[in-house]
Amino acid sequence: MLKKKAARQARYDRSAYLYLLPALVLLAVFLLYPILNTFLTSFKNEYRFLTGEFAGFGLQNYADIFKDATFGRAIINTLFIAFVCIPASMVAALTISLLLNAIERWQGFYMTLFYLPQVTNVIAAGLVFAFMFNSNFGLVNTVLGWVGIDPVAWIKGEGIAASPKLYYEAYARCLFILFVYTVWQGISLKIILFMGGLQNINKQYYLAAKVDGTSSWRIIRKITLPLLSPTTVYVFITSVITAFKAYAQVISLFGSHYGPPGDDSKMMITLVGYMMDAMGDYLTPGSISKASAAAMILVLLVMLVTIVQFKLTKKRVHYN
Amino acid sequence: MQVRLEQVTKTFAGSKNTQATAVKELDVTIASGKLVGLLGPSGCGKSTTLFMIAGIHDVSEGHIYFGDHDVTALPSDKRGVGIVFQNYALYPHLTVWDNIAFPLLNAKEMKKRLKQRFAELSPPMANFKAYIQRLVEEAAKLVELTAYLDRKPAELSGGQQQRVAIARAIVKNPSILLLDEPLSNLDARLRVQTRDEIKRIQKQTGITTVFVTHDQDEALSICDEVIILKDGVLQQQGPPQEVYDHPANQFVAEFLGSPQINLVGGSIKANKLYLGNEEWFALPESLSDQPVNIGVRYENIRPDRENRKQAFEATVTSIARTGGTSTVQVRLADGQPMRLHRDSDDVLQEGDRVRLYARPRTVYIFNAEGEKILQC
Repeated sequence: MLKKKAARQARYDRSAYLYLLPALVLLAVFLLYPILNTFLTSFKNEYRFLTGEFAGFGLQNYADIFKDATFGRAIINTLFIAFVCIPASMVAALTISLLLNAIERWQGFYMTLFYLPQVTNVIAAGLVFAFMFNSNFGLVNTVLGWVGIDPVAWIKGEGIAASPKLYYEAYARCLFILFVYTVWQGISLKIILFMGGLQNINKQYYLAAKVDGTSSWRIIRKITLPLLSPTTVYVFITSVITAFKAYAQVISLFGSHYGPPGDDSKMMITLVGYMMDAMGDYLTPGSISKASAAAMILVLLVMLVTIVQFKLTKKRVHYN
Repeated sequence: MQVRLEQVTKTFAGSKNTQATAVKELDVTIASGKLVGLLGPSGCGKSTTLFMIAGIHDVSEGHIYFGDHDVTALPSDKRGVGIVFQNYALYPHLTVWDNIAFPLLNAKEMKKRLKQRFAELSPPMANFKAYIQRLVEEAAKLVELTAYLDRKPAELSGGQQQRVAIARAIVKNPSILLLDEPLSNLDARLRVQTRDEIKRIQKQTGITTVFVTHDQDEALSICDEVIILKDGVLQQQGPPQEVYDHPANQFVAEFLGSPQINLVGGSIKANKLYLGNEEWFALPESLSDQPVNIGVRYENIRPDRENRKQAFEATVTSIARTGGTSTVQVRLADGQPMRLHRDSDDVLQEGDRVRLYARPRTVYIFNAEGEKILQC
């Protein structure tokens, strides 16, 4: 009897795997294999991409990139984007969503407005932002001029190599532009997600709280935010992944040399940018494996942040 | 506290400048300390009325008084009402304790009131936190949930969730307790149990309680008074038995009582009541000739064994036996059906000719508009 049942289950499993086969094959070829291959490649010393030759396995690539000042800049810039833009855009998106959720008229109109950045091309919008921050005729300097502030040379790097002070001033200005653009770019999807989460909260909770004389602030703190927490976690994790993959906005704002004109240090490079450059340099032995090592570091960073986040919020997230 | 509604009207704006009137010129007084049921079919305006008393809905016209105090313009949190919503609206992320304590830890005003009560305690208590703890525990004890204070709502049964909602509503010592369809989310067995529970809690606390229901059994079994609404208009108010025995109109007679009252077409001619085409009995008052609907409840129709003058003839068409009683369907001479209750050991058979009678004071006579014109 039991045997028969087990046999039937096995048959059932076999046909299930058969149906899954096409998807599994695709996953294996295009996802699993590349991941494994990248992992292996990152440990191949003096790997030549065209011939596939290499001088044994080791940690040479990791040693190389950690000695590379450009890689250091890429890590710092990526972490900057993550630690500044994620909190800023999440707080902004949540605030806007709470306000949007409170209004009844024009809600659809405003939601469309806030969603527009999402459907705009990242490169095109980045070029527009770069234009807005143009020193001579940019909108930002024009507006600053109205309130009596002298024009700022936003994206300018001539002569900065000579003086660390000038270099870091130029760096700060470029970071500011990058942050503004990244927050603007990322806010729309977060608003949509937060709005969805907010509208899922049963209105009766608010009625009950209102009859009990709960203040708006306490309602937000004690009811809205806890009930919104699954959405918040989801937004956070997707934001982390997006932030660590930052690349297009840097290219569109600062061009393929990752910096203001006159800078040759790749001042604004990100982790993905570093990988792209290394891959573009595939003829140089060890370049592709350096890109792989950088990719592994990226994966480690994202995993680390996600695990820490899970541990920290485990008790405070309420899933229905 | 006494609740008085004076000419209360509620209109909702519909699409394209139309207006829907949910409640119309309602005049009702709810006596202090009573358990009162707002009863009516769906869409009769009973929940709207409850929400107006709570201050969740504005009043379009008219006034609401709590005692002598006009609360019409008062926001809900200033009215001192406790409300239990149909699906309880318990905060799912908070424990039972936190849910019950939620209203106490709320607004400044609540805290001020509590602090004052705390200061006047005798014997005095050591600290305010312990006082809050005591209030929550008292409320939990009243609804018999002391063992569940650490649980989350999702870990409780429907009936227990209901009681948490009641505890949360009464912990702040409201002057009025409002319950919106409190039993509709419970299964049949739990419903009977919970309605007795509501009755007990209400008697124990003495809080004026208004509850909304579309289930007449519920209202009749626990209410001190029922208020029956139809299309936003008051039909009748009174103690359940009295309303049952003396319905004000055909709607109330039909709405109350299960199974539903027998309604048979007839007429008044020369001050005599005709059941169908058969003369039934002479009316004690003079009424004009007109077609009428005659209402008689199942339990008031009996076989006539004494050859009364007020008896009428009928043919048994079917008998449905359900345990101790059976429902007997008969056909009058003109073919109209009528039903009555009999003991199951009765010897009636399908096809039997029977003589039936009902005491005139249990017979309600309604005119064509559904108004009651006579009950002897």
